[in-house]
Amino acid sequence: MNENTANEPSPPLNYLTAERGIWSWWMSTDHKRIGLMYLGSMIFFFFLGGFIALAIRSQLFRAGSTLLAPQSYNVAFTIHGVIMIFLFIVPGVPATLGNFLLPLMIGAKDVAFPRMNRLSYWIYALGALFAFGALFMGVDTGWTFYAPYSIQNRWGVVTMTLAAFVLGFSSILTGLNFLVTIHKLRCPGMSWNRLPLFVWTLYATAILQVVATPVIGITLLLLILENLFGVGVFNPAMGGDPVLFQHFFWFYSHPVVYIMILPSMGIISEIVPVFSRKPIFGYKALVAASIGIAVISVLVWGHHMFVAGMSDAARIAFSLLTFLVAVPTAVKVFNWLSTMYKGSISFESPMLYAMAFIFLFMIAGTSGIHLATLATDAHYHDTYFVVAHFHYTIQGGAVIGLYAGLHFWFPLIFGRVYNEKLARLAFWMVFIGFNGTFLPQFALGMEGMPRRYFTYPAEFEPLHQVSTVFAFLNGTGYSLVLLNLLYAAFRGKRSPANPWGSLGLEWSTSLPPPHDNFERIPVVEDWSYGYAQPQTAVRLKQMEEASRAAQLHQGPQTPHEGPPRHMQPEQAYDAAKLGMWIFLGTEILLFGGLFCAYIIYRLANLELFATASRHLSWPLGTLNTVILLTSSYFMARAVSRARSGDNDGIIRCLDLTLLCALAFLVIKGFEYAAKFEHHLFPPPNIYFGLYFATTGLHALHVLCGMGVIVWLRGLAENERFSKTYFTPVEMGGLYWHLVDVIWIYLFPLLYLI
Amino acid sequence: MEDNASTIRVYRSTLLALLALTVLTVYTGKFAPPGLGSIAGVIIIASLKAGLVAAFFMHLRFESRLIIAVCLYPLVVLSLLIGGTYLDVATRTKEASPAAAGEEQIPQQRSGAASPGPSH
Repeated sequence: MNENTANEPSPPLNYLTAERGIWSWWMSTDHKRIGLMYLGSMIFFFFLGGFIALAIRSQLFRAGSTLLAPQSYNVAFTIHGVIMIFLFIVPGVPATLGNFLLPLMIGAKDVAFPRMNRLSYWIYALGALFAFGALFMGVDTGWTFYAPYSIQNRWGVVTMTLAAFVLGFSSILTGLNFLVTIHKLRCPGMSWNRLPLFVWTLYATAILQVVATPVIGITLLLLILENLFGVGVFNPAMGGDPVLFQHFFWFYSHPVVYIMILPSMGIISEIVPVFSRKPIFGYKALVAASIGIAVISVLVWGHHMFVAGMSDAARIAFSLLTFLVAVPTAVKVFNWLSTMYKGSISFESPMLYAMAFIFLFMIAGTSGIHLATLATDAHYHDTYFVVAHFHYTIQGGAVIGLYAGLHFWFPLIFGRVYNEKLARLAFWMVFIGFNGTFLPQFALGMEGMPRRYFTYPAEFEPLHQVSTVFAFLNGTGYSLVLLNLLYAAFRGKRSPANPWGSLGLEWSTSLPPPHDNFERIPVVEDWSYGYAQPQTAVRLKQMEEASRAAQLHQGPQTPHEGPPRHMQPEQAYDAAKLGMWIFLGTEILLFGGLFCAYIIYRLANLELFATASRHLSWPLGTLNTVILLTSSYFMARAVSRARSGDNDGIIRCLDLTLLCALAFLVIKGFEYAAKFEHHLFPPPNIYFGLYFATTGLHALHVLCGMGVIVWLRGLAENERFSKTYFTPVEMGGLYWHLVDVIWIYLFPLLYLI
Repeated sequence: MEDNASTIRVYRSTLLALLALTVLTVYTGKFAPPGLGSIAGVIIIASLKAGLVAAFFMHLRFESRLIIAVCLYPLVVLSLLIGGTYLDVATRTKEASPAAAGEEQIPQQRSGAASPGPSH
């Protein structure tokens, strides 16, 4: 990087300086500020989790060490896992660099729902608070919360899983926002086949976020209910199946590995062509590989459970499916290597991290083959081989990718440059420290050293000592990265325009960008990977000029509140509708987990369910069905009145809907009272466990729907709706109808058969 | 889509169809011969009802292919979850199957202590 100061004047206003004070950050809807808030929070948790990791490694330095008591050791590895997974790497690249870059890379002024974006961060902060609370409750289940052990540590597990549940909600909102943004806010010329590869990976990740996260949501909710009320779904003492917990857990937690790694792969796809000065090789194959990885990732969760008591048929099927992941992953690796082939490669720090990613991820992938193979997995399962494989995937892949991106886009984010020599030194410390920590752990695993034990036989001591020494080098390297970047963010030299000579659209604005990203919405005429072409030099010069012009001509900007002004009304309506339907999809999947549990247990206990369902009053259930269907009719009429701009009509229809909802809840209350009277709560068996879980969750949705209706009614009373603005009523209506649709299934399954 | 007579007629017809299907659901679930046939019957009827609500009340029949795809993806994902899980449960040996002891005496099945968990 050219570190000479460009001697350009400081921009009059940018997103960093547009407003001042902590409150302005907390209340900001600017995607760039939200990305930075995520980044700051996550770096804090990364170092906290890393500090705990060093405590774990210190304990393991000597066999029989008493630095940590056995129970403290169990709590330490649980906290390390929860912090690193749920608070750091799951939000990871999408919440930080994704938030910051997505609108800039597609030529938009912000994400589709800026206030939802802010809400997502607030929810993340709330989840972090819950997680902090749980730190002091001695949770020792490991980050996987496996049942039935996890239903024996009541409040600690409840608090910790509640934290993970809340954080999952934040993740869903981010994914939803990104999907709608990519579909609806691309600038003119930014066609699907010109979309930057980083954006494609954010798109694939967002799909996984909205597909898989609701399933972990309901799993954790069931675990909470299990701890609080004993619903029995995962409790073998009540006929529940702990392996079902693992199915649900890994249905999310395997795809989540790709939620972590896919965006990092996107970062590598952006960096490699820039520093090889060559067009990306196989753009379409890389796009297909991203989508392919996302699709395959929801088919292979069973490989985490080969020794959990699954059937042979399931083991074989999941093993075969797991090998499919290698295909799109290898496509990516070969394409990166082909991009570099005969390129004019330069080894600045982002490229060093990118090449490290490829190297480390190859080790992660090839060691994964051993774990996908039934015979070898039986030996390696729950050993240090798994620990090493997992860290090569997550730290060697996702984290190194994040650091590659941070170094690459740092000048854009802060408008300053860091000390390149220090960055390279820190890189080598991280790289050597990481390999020195985890390569010995492969050997330990192969020799049979189990994970999650606070001590071990003396023959494992040398490898543990090597691992621990290098872990400290690894940690020192990360600290040096942090110090270097922190210093540069505040005191670094000003960055010249487009310091890496990238063709990415994001570099054509000022460094750092203004609040609204671009002076005017750009028009894209080519893809961003056309390096070493005749017109490349001209394009780069144009981009530099555009960046300088944006820097010099920025007028004063005040961040705006209220309805987003970055979309036309029709565009905003389309975005809201798409977002609402995606949200409804996540709701279906939330209940879908319960339906899945119902089907599994129903088929295993036909007689029990038939007998127990006779304890429910089917006439009351029928009455409630009629009431909800009627409420849907009134809601449809309310939407119809809203489209006509008839606010009085809206109020009449909403009142009738509200009345139906109230009647539904009153009847449900009578039903529950009868069950309590007959000592059917706490649930005596799985049937009633599922009955209370499903109808309770549904009733909660009815209550939320009623809240929405009351809010809409208030807007209608203030004459807010017109023939051209009725979006909230339509979106509220969609939500209400979904509540109805869910009951349409619950009624026969619980009351009739 | 104005709130004109034809729209109201469509909504009313939809509601009537939903109520009629509710009657049919109750008959199939409660009064038809029990067994897997009646279970399948009520699920099919419920799906018809959900389809009516989605198509007419939620206006899905007017929506773009993108929205329809978004509406269908949860069903595909759910099928995968149920299919993969059931593949395991259905082919497990009897001793390992979940809830093998499904007692019928309702209030007597609770047990305070769960069995010890695996060493995870």
